Amino acid sequence: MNVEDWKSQIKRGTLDFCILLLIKQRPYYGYEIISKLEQYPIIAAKENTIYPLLRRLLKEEYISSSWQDSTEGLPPRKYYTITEKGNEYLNAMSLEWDNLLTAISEIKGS
Amino acid sequence: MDKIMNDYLEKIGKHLKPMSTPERIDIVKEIKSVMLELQHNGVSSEQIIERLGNPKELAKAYLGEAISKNSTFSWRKFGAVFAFCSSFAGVSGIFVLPIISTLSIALMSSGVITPIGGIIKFIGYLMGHDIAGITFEFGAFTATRPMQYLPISIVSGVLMFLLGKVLWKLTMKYIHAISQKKIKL
Repeated sequence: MNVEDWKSQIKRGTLDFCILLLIKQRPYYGYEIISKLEQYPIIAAKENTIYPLLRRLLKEEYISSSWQDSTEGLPPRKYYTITEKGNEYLNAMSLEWDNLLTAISEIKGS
Repeated sequence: MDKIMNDYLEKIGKHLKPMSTPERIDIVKEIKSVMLELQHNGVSSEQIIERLGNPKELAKAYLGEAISKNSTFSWRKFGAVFAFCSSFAGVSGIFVLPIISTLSIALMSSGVITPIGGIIKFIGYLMGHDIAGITFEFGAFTATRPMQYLPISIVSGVLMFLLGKVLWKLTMKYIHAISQKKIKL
């Protein structure tokens, strides 16, 4: 039994979903996304996972990005926003996610 | 920005060479931005580098993500496969990957060309010409009767195309596996 393996598979399969859910609320920059996810160990991921993943979502046009200057000596930040295509993808994932939760709770029995 | 962090950014830039220049600059700029952000929060340079991990692995993750999330074919991806190989040599880099990816594309394009040849030959026959430039030979067997042209060319075309497609999918899976191997989630 190796629950760590299983956890990392869950993480791998749900990070797209979590990131799009976050970005849908408002524009986020990369470091902010990482800090937010870090609050939850099951989906916490480091820079070397999140940044390449964001780059892929950009290429697949689920998100778009823009550089913005920040205040008081901080570096410019790259903000990500969800696109129309990203919204569609997110809706489809939400639906499947609900299906999964229903299935699991039914299988577990009440 | 001290020397440790600058060196790190330089290494990332070097390992991302296969990517287009604007993309590479953008990636390095974003990593630099997160470094400064962390520094501002009081994280030391050593800890920042530690957190970001081996620059080569980070670059590999970028190159790997660019290729292998879905296994559909595109020429841009074909280029990216070669970029990935040239950047990460080793047996799979110099040998296996270029061969299987090229082979899969050769098979897929043969799969398209062969039925076209069959159709041209068949139409030629219907119009009373024999197009000598197109022949169908499989080992010792040569298709001589016009009625054979069309089915043979279509069946073999489809087979080659499917084989090429399977090979392409394997290539994508393989790249995904090696680019994920070192980064533990």
